[in-house]
Amino acid sequence: MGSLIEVQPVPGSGGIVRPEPFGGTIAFRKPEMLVLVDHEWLGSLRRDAKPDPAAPFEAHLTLSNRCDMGCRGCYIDSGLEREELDVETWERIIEKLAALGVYHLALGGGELLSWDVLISLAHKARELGMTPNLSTSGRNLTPAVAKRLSVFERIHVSLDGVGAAYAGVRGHDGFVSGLMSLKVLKAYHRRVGVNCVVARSNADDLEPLFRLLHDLGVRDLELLRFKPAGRGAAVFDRMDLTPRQAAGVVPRVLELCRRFRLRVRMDCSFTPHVCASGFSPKLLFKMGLAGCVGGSWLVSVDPQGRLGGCSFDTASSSLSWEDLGNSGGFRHYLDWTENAPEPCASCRWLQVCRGGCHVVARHVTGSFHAPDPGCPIVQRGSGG
Amino acid sequence: MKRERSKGRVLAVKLGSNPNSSSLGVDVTLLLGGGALVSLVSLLGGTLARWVLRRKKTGNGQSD
Repeated sequence: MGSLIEVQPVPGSGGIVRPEPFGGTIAFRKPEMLVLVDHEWLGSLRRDAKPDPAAPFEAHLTLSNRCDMGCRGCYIDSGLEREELDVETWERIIEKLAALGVYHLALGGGELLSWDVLISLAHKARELGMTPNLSTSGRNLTPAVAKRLSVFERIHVSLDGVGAAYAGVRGHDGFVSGLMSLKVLKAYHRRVGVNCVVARSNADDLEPLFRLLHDLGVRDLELLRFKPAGRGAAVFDRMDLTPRQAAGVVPRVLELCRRFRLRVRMDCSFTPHVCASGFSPKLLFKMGLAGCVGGSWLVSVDPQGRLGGCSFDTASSSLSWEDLGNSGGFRHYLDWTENAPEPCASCRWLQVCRGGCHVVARHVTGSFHAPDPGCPIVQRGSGG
Repeated sequence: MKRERSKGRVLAVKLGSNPNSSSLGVDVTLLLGGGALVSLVSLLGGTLARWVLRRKKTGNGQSD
């Protein structure tokens, strides 16, 4: 029997406390959590303070953008003829991330990627002390492959709604295929969940998905805001939530959580919506909620090896994976709150929200430094 | 015996790991329990972290 408590090693640091600008982080595999503490808490264990983020908590590797599904909002603009890094380079990237002390690695990408490659890279991450997770549409997934995916801590299947709701977001009917994959994975893997992109077409129709997952015994759901990246940029104005939906999405999700007893995560771009629901900034910070943490808690590498603050920002990046560990390239992310414009500057959630999603802001307003126009508080025209 | 008083603060406890490969998520289910639940999680996380580090200091902890 394994132990009830398992501390996650910090590769490259020689210890279990990772020094941070604010103090340090202690990571656990069981129970799965990161504990962020201040310098005083660390006391004698305190090491040299880092002026900049020591390393991301998490890295996202988009391994491939070869895919034949043709989703209308694909953030990496997948297709059949695409260029991507070779496996050896991905292995070097994983080694570099491990040396920096990254805890979690989320793998994903085009759905024509070889399962063998995915599995071998996940093993590599495990060997180096990181926790690999996978998000997939489950395309081409067979029971034989599903059995081999135990190397992943968590696997999430993309399912943007039930029946027609799926097609409303993706632009094609892949619901049945996604559902079958979910069932196959559930049969072989303990920690299986669903990722659902929330867009204008399905935001008012989330209940059937909650009900389905409850009935299937799937307990984990991650809700993602539709982003204007890749092909998503061209359709963003008709996929983005309406002001009514933006203001109501968090209360609705929490109501559904209560009814169907699912564990729901909302992605970083929903932080303005969570803040606008009225919870105190102190409470939100304590549970680890953070708006844009691109370049600090999170980095991403795309199939061409470009390094971005997040997966939606690699296409505009001039950085390469070889710049990993150099936070100077992300100064515009890190300094955002110091130079925040109104109404963010006077908003009491500024330090938690950090201006919301800068990728959305840049797409809609033309400026990375503008407030997130999807924030319900910004839409009301006043600071929180 | 007088127990040593804890110093410093647990700033945040992030539960779970992010299963999504495009953005970072946070478990909002905790909000259903309000401040009391979040404080409890923070207290338990801090206690567990301190216990692990104390064990490590005395040589009973897991190796890195």
